Amino acid sequence: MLIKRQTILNKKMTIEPQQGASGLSFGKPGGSWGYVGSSNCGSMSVGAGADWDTRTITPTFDPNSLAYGVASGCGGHDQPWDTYCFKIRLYMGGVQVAESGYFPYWGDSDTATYIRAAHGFRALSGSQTCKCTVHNYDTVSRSFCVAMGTGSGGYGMFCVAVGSVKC
Amino acid sequence: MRIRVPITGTVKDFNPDEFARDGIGVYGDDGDPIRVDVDLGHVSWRLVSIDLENDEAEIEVAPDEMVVELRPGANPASPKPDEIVARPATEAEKLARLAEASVRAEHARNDPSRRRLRKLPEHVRSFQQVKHLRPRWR
Repeated sequence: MLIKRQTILNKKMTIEPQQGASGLSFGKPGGSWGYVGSSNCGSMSVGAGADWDTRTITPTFDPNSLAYGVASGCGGHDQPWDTYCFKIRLYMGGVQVAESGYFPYWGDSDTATYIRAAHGFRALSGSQTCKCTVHNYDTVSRSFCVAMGTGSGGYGMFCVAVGSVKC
Repeated sequence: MRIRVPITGTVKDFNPDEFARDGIGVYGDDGDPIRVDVDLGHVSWRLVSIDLENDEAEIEVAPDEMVVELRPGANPASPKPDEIVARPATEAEKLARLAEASVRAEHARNDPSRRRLRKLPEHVRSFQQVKHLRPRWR
């Protein structure tokens, strides 16, 4: 038994993964939208059953890459407080790999939990689009309130980040 | 909890080697991505694998951790912001959310009007040849 154990310990381990592609995009979402009055949120109308593309990256992955991605957004809806329609989606290589829970009502200042995130992983190779979208599950168009922070600088935080290892 | 849900979209390519690695292996059209167009309720999920024969995906579902509700006495039609409160969901509520997601998924799978994947026969043939290779670690 001792010999066997020593043999195993002497074996050279070669499982350290090599670094692969990575990409990050964050900030204000694309598209035409604007501030709501002087408040600290912007507004975007999202069609029934539609995706609103907020951030997109296109990293190039080596063959045999395993990629991990995360998409997140900060905001809410301005419908009645008990309406639930918006979720974050993460797409990698033209496939939805994850979805978040519902965004809350924008006026729900007590909870301060406006951030929703989705994360997942898959094998990828070549140049692939990875994106963060806001999906409206309702049967009518709804307004999504984009959290901007205070002041004209604002943040409008949406993010998609992807990293990969060759394995 | 893992459940099966219908998927829609357009298949652009299928890579058997990558399927053997991740259980997905498929690439969608960016203009019509492969996606789950089913509202599963108060849960989040991540993709585990894709079944190109049946146009379904296996997903890992987790319940939302918080419940939003009104304080006692608040007017449901026009509550003030400080009357809307959040609290951690109980275990029973989390189980109910998972059960509801499962019911919604099953309903969508049995919907005869559901939109199918647009794919080429060679994608399905290639999938059939390697489907037994789905990685067990997923």
